[in-house]
Amino acid sequence: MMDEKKDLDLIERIRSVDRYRPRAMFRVKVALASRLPSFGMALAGSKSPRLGWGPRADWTWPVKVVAAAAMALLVGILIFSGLVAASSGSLPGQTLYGLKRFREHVDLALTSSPTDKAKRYLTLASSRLSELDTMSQKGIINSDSARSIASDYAAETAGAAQVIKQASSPESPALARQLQELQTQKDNMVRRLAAASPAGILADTEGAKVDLNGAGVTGQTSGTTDSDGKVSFAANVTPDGAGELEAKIQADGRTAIVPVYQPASGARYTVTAQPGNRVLKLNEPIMFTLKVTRADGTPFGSGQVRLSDPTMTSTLDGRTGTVPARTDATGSCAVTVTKTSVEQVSPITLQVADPGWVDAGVVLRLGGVQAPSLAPVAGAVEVTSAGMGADLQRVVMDNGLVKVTAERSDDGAIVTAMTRSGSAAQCGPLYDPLPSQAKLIGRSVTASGPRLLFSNGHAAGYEIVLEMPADNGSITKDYKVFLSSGDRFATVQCRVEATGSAAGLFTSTPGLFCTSMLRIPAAASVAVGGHEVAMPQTPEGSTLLSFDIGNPYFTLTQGQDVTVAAFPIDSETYPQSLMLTTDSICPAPPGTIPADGMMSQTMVIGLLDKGSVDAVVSRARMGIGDPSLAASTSTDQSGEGFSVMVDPPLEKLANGKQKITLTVYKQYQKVLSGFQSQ
Amino acid sequence: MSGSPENEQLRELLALATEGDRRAYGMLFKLCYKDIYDYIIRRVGSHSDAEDITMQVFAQGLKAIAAYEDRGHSVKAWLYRIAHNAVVDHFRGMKPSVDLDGAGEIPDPVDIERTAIDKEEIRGLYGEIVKLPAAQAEVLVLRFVEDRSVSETAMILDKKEVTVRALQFKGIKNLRQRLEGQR
Repeated sequence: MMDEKKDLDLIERIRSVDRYRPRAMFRVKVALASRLPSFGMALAGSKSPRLGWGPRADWTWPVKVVAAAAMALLVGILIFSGLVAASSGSLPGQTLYGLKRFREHVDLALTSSPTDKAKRYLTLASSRLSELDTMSQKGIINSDSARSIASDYAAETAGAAQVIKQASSPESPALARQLQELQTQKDNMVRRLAAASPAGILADTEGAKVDLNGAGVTGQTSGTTDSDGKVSFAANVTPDGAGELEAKIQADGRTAIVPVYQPASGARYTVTAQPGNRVLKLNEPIMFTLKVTRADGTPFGSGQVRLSDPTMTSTLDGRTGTVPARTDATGSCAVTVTKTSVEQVSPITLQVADPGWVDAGVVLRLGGVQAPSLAPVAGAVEVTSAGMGADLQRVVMDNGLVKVTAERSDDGAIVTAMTRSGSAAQCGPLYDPLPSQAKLIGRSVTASGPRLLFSNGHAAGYEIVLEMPADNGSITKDYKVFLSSGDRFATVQCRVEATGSAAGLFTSTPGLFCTSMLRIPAAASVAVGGHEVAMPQTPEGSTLLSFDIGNPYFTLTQGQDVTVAAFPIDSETYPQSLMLTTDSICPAPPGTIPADGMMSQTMVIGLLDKGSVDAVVSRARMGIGDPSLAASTSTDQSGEGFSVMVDPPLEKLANGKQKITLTVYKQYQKVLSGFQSQ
Repeated sequence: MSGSPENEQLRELLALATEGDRRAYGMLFKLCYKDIYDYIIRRVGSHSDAEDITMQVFAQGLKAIAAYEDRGHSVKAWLYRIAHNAVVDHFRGMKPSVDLDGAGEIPDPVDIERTAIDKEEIRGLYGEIVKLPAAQAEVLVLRFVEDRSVSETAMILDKKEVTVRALQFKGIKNLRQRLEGQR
C-alpha cells in the first residue's frame, strides 16, 4: 500500500518532467513547412549532407557558410510566412502580390509529376484571369498590372502546353481541353473588357501636363501625371459647378480638353443623345441624334428646338451661334457638331419651344483632341475607294502583303481580284453564282455594295449583299470581306438566308445556294488538303471532292504563286466537300438547307508563295476569330485622345476645397493588345 | 483520449488531409510537432537529430496519409508510431564504422548519456529514467511524459498491452528503488 502511494506520487512527478522546447530555428522551419507541406517534404527528403538544421560541428567551413546563408534566407522568408497565407487573394500592384507569386513559384518548382505540373500551370493561368476580372470589376486595373498579368498568363499557358505535350499521360487530352477552355475564357474576357470598360485596358499616361479649369477653381490648377497616370489637385469645387470642371491634357504631342464630370441635365425634359458625351477629333464633324422627352414621358414630337454652344468652340451644322432644328414625331432631331478648339469643352445647350422657349439645359458636353497626323503604321491596312456613300464603285484594301480589290458588279463578284506584293500573280475573282443561277430560272438579283464597313489602320472590311426575290420571300447572301494588318489572307464571311418560298428552291435549284466560288486560272493545278486532283474533262461536269479530316483547305498553284483557300475551325458551318468544275471550285452546298433557312460560312483566301501555305493553313486550323471585332474601335472618334477617371466621383463630391485625383489613360494605346493577339 | 476536443480537431484535419488538402496536414503537423519532437529528442538525445527525424515524421506522415486507418487511437498516436519507427530506423542507419567491434549491433535507443544533449538537461528524475532499461524507459516516457494511453503505447511500440503494463510496473518500481537508493 505504501509502495502504491509512492508509485502514484512518482508517476505524478514523471508527468511534471519539463518538456523539451524545440529550438527557435526549428520552430520557424516547422512554421514554414506546415504552410507548404511539399516544402516540408523536400526538406525532410534531402539526405545530403544530412537533414540537420543548424551547422554541424563536423561540417567544413564552406558548408557552414552555405548552411548559415540558407538559414538566413529561410528566416527572411519566414518573417513573411504569415503574410504568405494572407497574400492568396492579393492582386497585382498590392503589397502582398509578390509573396503570392513567390508561393506559386515554390509550389510549381516542387511539383515533379508532369501531369500535376500541367494542372498547376492551368490553375495559375486561371488565377491570372480571375485577377484580371477582379481588377476590371473593381476598376483598379492599370497598364503595368495588365501587362504583367498578360505576360504571366502567356508564360503559364505556354508552360502548360509544353508539359501536356511532353507528358503523354491518359489525362493529357483532358488537360489539353482545359487549356483550350481557358484560352476561350481569356478571349471572351478580353472582348468583354474591350467592350465594357475601355478605361480598364488603356495605357495610363505618365508625364502628361494637366490643367484644371472651371468656375470657382482656385489654388493649384496645374500638375503632371505620375507613373500610374495620376495627378491630384487641391481644388475648390462644388457639386453644382462640377459640370463646368474641365481638364486640359497635353502629352505625346496631343492636346485634349475633356469634361471632368458629366452631371445629368435639367428635370423638365429628358434628352438622350446618340452618340453620347465624347471627345471629338478637331475639325472632324460628327452627327448626333437627340431625342427629347417631356417629364411625363411623352416625346416632344414635331416641335421647334434651338441648339447652341455658348463657348463657340464648336460649330453646329457648320455654323457658330444658335441653330434651329425640328423634332420628328418621336421627338428626335439631328445636329452635326464639329469641334474647332481645344481651349474649352463645348457644352451644347438646348431650348425647346413648348410653347414659349424653355431652357432644357446642357444636353451634351463635348471634349476635343488635337492629335498629330500619324505616320502610317507599318503594315497598316490602307483603303482607297472610288464613288460616294453607301454604294461605292470600288474598294481596295492593301496591307502591304496582299491587296484586295472589290468592284461594283452585277455578276456576283465578291473579290474582283487579289494580288500579292512582289509578284505579278493575281487570283480571283471570288464570286457568288447567284446571279447566273437566277438567270437560268428567269429571276433577277440585286447587288449592293461594296460598302465600306470600317477602316482603322489595323483592319478594314467591306460588305456586298446579293438578293434574289422569290414569289414569297427571298434568298439573301450577305458577304463581308476583311483584311487585317500582317495577314497574307483576307477573310470572307458569307451569310445565306432563304425566307418564304425561296427556301423551297433549294431542292429544285441547289446551285442557288453555292457560295464563295473561285475562278481557277487556266494553267493552275488544284490540290485538296495537299493532294493534287484531276480536273473534270467536260465543261458540264462537276466533281465532288472530300476533305481529309484536319486538312480543310485547297490550293491553286501557278509556278511559285499559290492561292490558298481554307475553312477556319471557327466557321459557323463547315463544308462537307468541295465542288470542282473545269474553271471553278467552291464549297459544295449543304445536303439540306437548315430548318431556319440560314447558314453562315467563313473562308480565308490568300495569295502566297509556296513556303507560306502551311502558316495560313495552321492559322485556319486554330481559328481566326472574328475580324469584324476590329471594327469596334473604328466608330470611336475619340480614339486619338485621353480618357479620364476622377476621384471622388460626382455623387461623393463635397462642397468646397477638396482633393481631386484624375487618372489619365491613353485612348490610342491599349495595353492588352499583346494579350489579344496570342 | 481519442474522443477529446483536441483529437476531434486533429481528426477533422486528418480527414481533410486524406482528401488531398495539404494545408490541413500542415496545420495538423503544426499542432502535433512539439510532442513528437519531445518524444524523439528523449530517444535520440541531440537537437539536430531530433529536428531531422521530426521532419521525416512530417514527410512520412504525408506519404502514409492515404493508408491511414482509424483504429480507435488518437491521431497523435499515429504520429508517435511513425516517430517511433523513424527513431528505430535512425539508429539502424547509424554507421557501424565508429565501433568496429560493435558492427551490426543496434545501439541502445535510449542510451541518452552517450548523446550530445547537455548533461545539465538530464538531471534529477528524468536523469534516473534514462538509466532504466531501454524498454522500461520508453514505456514510462510514452505513458507519463507524452501522456499516451496503454493501448496507444502498445500500438506505438508494437507491443502487447499486457507487456506495456508489465514494463510500466517494472519501470516505476526500478525508478522508485533508484531514487530511494540515492538517499
